[in-house]
Amino acid sequence: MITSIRILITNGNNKKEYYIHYDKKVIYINGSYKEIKEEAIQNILRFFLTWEETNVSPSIIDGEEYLVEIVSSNNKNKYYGKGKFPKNYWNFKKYLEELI
Amino acid sequence: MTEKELSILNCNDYLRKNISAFVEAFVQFYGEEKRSDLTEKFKDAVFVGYQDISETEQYLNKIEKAYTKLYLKEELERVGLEGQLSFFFSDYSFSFYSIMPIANFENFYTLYTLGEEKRRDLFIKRGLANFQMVKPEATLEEYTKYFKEGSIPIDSFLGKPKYLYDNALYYIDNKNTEDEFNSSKEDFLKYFSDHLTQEEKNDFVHSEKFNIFKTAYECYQKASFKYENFKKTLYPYKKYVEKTKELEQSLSKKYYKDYILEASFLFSELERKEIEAYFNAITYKTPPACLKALSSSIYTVPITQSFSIEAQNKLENPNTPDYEKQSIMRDRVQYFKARGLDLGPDYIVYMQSKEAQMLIPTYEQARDITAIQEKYVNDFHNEYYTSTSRHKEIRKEITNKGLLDPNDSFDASLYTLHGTFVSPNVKIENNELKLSSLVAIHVTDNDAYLDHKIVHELNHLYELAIHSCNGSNIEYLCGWDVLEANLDDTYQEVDTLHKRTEKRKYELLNEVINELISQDISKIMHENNMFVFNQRECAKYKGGTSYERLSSLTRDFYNEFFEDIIKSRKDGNRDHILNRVGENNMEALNQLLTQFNQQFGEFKYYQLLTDLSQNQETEATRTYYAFQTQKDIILNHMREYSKNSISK
Repeated sequence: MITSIRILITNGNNKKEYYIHYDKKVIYINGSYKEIKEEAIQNILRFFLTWEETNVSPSIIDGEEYLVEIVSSNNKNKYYGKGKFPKNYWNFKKYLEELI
Repeated sequence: MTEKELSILNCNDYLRKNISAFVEAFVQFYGEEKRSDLTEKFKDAVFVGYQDISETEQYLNKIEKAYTKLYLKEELERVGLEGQLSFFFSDYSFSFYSIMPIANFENFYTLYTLGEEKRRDLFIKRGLANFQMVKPEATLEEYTKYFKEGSIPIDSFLGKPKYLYDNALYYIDNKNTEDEFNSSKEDFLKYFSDHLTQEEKNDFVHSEKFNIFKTAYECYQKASFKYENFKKTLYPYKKYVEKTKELEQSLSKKYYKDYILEASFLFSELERKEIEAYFNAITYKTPPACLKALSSSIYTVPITQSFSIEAQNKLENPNTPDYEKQSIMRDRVQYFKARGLDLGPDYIVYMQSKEAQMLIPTYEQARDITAIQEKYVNDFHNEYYTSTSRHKEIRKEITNKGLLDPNDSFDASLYTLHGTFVSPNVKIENNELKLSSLVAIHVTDNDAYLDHKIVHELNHLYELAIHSCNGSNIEYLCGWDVLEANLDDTYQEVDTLHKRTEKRKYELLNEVINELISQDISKIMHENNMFVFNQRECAKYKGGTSYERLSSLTRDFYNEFFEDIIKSRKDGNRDHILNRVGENNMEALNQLLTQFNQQFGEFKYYQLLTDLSQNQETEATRTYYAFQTQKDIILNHMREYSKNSISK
């Protein structure tokens, strides 16, 4: 059972942090928070289905960086990437923006 | 608005107007004799400062908040209530006035100051407005008569929405006039309960606290008056955001429709008809259930992905976390339900159902649907981002410049990938091929490295040269790196979802050296108090790029061969450094950087820094020192080569 999802997106000095408390059904965004529906959490989880655990470009050493941590009762799953992104990454970011 | 605020909101104009400030720093670094060369080179470039619409919107919200705070603070200070800002107004901008704590006082205070008689008059007027929704010709006299009688003719409400009659019953009841006032008082007292004594709660309007709240409320009125004036200056920017968001919404709907229609091969004839009817409806229609088997918007992942080969592998893999398996199974159940097969919530039941098996998409179908969605997202990006008014304006300017390479990088991927780069291009001037490159700068308000980032790109621009031109094939030298283009190419729609990952031969070494030069130029800017986008107190130029992690391998080379490096990076003069230190040695250093970068990926590099700072001997530090030794060997070879090349 999931307990939380943490999403960190960094681009230079710009940092966006999303934290979803699964039981409370609340999403915290850079300090403020709002309620989130179960369906929206499922929509978020669906993005990760095709993600590699690490996705780092050997040649682009600067640029956007992301870290996703999905904490469940018995383990913690991480997805990390820099300069190289899963195919649905831009949709994923847009979906997060639309949530707010 | 301050200059800083305007610089972000008008980032493109601001960047262009201030290029001369950067020129001064470059002249100090490269020497006065390079002034005309620098000026000329920068003059021919096309500068584009940009941000995407969500960034502009966020920045406007930030400004609104800041000015709300500023005006309220000024008023509160004037009446000796400084330090009470957060208590009365919390952290909201005036756009969110209704959720500010003081709004609770306003509701009560407005009704209180009216007095009983005027409260009733107001209540009657609200009742009349409701009544006029069903009987527009009703007069105040007529309605007052009903109010006094305490009843209203039901006939007028026949065939009208029920809530209008419910409202009428509420407004016709005189008791509700004072109940409304009393409940506004109760709500206020409850909201501020922790800050009021029992005595104050019992007789609030005669307490000292009442006067304090009244004063704070007056501060709000004065501050909001100033704010409304200020808000007019934001209007053009807010209008731009609004228009652009409307465009986004209409195009995302259009491409969502195209995606769904193309992915409809999955559905039955009947489902397809439902989908078509839904999209063709002129008035709002509830989406058909089968749409839930795909995506609810152009951005969400199709549910059919839960039947992809990747999903199946995850289900079969014992190491897949439970939540992920559950998520896949939940999606599959949702899919079946969307297709009209509801066997309850238990996934196993579906797996045993022959009917369910008939509905399962093949791996290929699941893959194709995802690919169709990606294609339409990309098409959406390409149309939307290039149709905004700001983009179109700049596009027009670029077209007027007559750049020869149509793939000029000023495209939709700017906004999805947020790049900051130089894209080489050329034009014909006086029958000669001349560089006229695009310099794209992604501008955000809280980027302490923004000025430095511009310096980094300007140095690339300065170092750019046409290396060779053979028919329509052109080669540029940027520092030591070769870039190729074909001027006969037609415009190709860009892939807005992926960054390029191929590597050029000298890319890493070239970038690291460019960054070292740029830091020296930025240092000059800081020493001479030359700032453009950044404010002095928060501007930075060191520690902003990952290239710096390779400095330990390049700093000595840069310092020792500085003059040769500078000379070799300009005007396609790359051979100068190769002849001075030896091509093999340059290649060895280049290789060393690549190996270091591969060896110390993100996590490993941070671990290395920790180990080094704690003087620990670990495998990582041993590898690090081996790299340093290797670097020293290469440098020695360069020195020897250099000595020989000079003596020759």
